[in-house]
Amino acid sequence: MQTAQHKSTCPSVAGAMATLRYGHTLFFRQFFQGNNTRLGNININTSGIHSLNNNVSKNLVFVSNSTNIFENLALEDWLYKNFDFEKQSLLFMWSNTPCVVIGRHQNPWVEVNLKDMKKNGVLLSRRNSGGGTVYHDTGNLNCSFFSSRARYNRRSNLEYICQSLKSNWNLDLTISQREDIVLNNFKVSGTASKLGHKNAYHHCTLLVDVDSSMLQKILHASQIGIKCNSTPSVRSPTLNLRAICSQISVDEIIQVLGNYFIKNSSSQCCDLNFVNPSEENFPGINVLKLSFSNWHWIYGKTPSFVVNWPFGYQKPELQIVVQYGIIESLHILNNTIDRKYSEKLTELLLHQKLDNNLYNSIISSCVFKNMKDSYSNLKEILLLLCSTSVS
Amino acid sequence: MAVCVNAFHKCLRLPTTLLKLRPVVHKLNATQITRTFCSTNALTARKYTEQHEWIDVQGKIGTVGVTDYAQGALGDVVFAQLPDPDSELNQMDDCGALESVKAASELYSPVSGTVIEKNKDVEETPALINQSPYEKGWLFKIQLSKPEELDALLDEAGYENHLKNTGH
Repeated sequence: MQTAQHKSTCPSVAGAMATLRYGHTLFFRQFFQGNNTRLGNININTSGIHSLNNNVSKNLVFVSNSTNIFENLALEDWLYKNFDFEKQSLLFMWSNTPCVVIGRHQNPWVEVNLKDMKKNGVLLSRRNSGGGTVYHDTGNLNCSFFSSRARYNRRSNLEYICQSLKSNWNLDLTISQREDIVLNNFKVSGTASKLGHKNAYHHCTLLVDVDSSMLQKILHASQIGIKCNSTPSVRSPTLNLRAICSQISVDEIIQVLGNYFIKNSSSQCCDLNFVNPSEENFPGINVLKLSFSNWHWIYGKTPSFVVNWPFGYQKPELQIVVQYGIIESLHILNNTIDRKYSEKLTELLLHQKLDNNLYNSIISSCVFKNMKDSYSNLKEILLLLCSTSVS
Repeated sequence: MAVCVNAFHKCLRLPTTLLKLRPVVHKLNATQITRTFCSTNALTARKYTEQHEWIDVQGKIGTVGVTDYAQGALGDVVFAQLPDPDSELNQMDDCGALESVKAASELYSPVSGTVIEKNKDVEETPALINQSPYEKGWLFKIQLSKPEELDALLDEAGYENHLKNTGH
């Protein structure tokens, strides 16, 4: 058994991995026992489920000190995979610097403007839960509610958010049929979830003071003739809570939601825990970070799709079939493309990954130089498909 | 056996083999019903997991899907991520996901083995899982590497009991 330093006087989760946000001291306690890891008195499992020593149900609150989307997605995934939620629930709150988060089964080429994202330094990421695409910045608060699969209840989590915000700021929040939180008919929160065998989580966004012009710009994809069966986003008009209530801020909401969540627990000795998603605190998290920021997860995980060129015509001349982010096949239809070009195109594109290397190959290729002017649009579309930067 | 009879009446969407029997069964007395169900169970040999997957084994090949209860609880499935052929799976491995109403539900393999086929129709039209969970909505076929794992899975009566006991 290895015992890490522990400075907290509270035997509860408050001592688990708390640091003051923006701050200072690391209260940290960790026990390794074979494959089992124990943080404070929160039981987690790395090989099986270990129940609490007592039967008290607990509500824990973690707030991430990180504003990096990949670190926060990794921490969310780590908690989902390692915690035992049989007798405890957890509210994890986190914010990110500008980024777009697409749903697990979505197509980034359909959902976002990849060129504008690159230009504006906005990161792209893919989460594990279902649902549609969202834009995040530090004016948005994400709330992940973890529980056992049996106690998973999306509506009650949303009601809890509505009640606590209503009681503090008198906001007239309601829950829509799609389980979005709505204010004056505008969406202020979007929801998605992931359900496993033992554990489940429901997470939602809360638009407090988001850069809405960037949101509009980035979530506006160019139509390039993609045919796919990936999950489509349902677009809704959005509103910042700040527009209705000028005093509200992300930090205040964290305090209000966190304290309200703890108050509803039968064991109230806990406090808000500000945590660093580091390898030291969460063994194995670095591997998760790498997998979330990896091209293969963000782009390669896209359900297979077909690009029909030229876009909008009933009879396309060229069909590009993409699977796992790689050009699997090219179909030249109607023999409209000269054979010598079609061979060169195939040589250039077939079995290539849609990434920066292919982007550079297309830029330096002479195939398009001698083709008809109308084919310059094909080059643009191919370059757009290859605008798949990763951090 | 009483459980089977209850299950029969409770089931909203029955496997075709049972559906075909339905009008006949109504005319029979209790003893005959019992006999009918024994033979039906022997014919289908479908096994279930507590996570609501079913597996129907013919020889060494098992066809896997989710139960009628599962499809009802999921709601309209909008995307099915299925394991690719040649994937090696251990029993209870997370091998895909079904997405419905903004939730991704993990899919588990009821047995160990090698995936030999996935249902491309379901990938194309995920609603088949809702419309026909036991037939057109099957998910993947797997060559069993440890057929003995089947012994620990639930039979139809056991699964119905499990649903009852967990309040469904």
